[in-house]
Amino acid sequence: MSAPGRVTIVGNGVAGYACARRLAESGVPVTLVGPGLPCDRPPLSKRALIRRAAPYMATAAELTRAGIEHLDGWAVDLDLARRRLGVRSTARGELHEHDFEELVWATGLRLRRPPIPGIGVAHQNADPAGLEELLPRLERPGRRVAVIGAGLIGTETAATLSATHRVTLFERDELPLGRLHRAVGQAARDVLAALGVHFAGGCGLERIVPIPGGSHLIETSTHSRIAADVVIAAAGVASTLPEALGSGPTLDTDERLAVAGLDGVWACGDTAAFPHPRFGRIAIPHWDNARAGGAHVAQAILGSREPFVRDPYWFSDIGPLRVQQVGFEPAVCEWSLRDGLHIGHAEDGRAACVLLLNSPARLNDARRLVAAA
Amino acid sequence: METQIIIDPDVCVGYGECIAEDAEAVELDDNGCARALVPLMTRDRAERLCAVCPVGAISLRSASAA
Repeated sequence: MSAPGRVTIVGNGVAGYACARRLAESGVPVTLVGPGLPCDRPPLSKRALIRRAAPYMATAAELTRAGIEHLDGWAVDLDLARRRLGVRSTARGELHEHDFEELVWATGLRLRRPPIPGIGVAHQNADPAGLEELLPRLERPGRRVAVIGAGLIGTETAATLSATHRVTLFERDELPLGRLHRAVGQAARDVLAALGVHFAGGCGLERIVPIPGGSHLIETSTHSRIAADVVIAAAGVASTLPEALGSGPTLDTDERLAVAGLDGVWACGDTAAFPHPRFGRIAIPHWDNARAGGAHVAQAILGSREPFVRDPYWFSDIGPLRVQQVGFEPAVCEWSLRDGLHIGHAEDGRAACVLLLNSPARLNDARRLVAAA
Repeated sequence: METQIIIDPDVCVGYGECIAEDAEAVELDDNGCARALVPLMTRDRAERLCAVCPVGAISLRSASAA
């Protein structure tokens, strides 16, 4: 096949940068569109909280050296018929029109702010801009930090910040990580308690009220009012897809991650809903899938016909608690515990996923079990 | 077959991305730390292993320098 022309990648997170790097290594001209330098995402953002620096993956000079052109801005307008992208520059706010040939969409998910009166004061730490705003507020130790939402990002954030700050973690469910197997929630609750995090579970937030001196009062339905110097919102995710791509949470792709029904448009990372041979159409909002999907799209553009068949995998560190899960947890999941492995069974009884709690050495066993099912 | 991978045990935290990429080149030991299974490999294969590590625990050394 002929060598691919210039590839435009929208999204400078894990998926977009993995794709850009692989293509550039193969000599394909690449334009990477996104605000700021390529930046890693959670789970590594918690390490950023410790080092107090956003986890950028490349400097401007490294991008240039790699042959990656960086358009520092937001993709604001997508015209698929004319194959033209509008990019609003980060520095001066002006609009550039960029004509593309191959297009890779890798903008991921964004955190949304939960609809609570006064939530505007909350910071978010899942993207580099949010992190850059948050970090100076955490320089002084001993701050009262309120984290809203005990999903993976919120729970990791609360555990990490507990080393230097006084942290309250607010959550609607009775347990942190309530969407996962109950054993994870219980283990996380115990670890948070040992770290000194105040876990305010079963808790609805009514409003956040500013108080003199720059701090805030968080009024809840179930606990007393809690004062905080810094508020971090980590509850819920929202779509980043433009209208031209359906504005939904995800884009349906084929087995090579080409967007269904569009010519020369690809998707990878959180937003790609791809047909997995065993789990059906799935989207996986985790680091592993972002990196592997980005690299896969690069290979596909270079001419590979291989399908993207990777078994889903994610990991999380909540203080000293390591959580890993291989496979895809079905909506109806029957758990069993066998030989130290938590096995999630689909309705037909097959092992659909395996959960590991503080057992990193068992990862290969877990992978084999899921692959053999 | 000229490149060796070096896994820094102080940096590796055992996320296992490397074994997902290339289970014939790397395994996890009893502590969940990655360990190379093959002494030398092609540069391309070694570079892929470096690229998949979320914490940058894997580096390359060419065999002539080893």
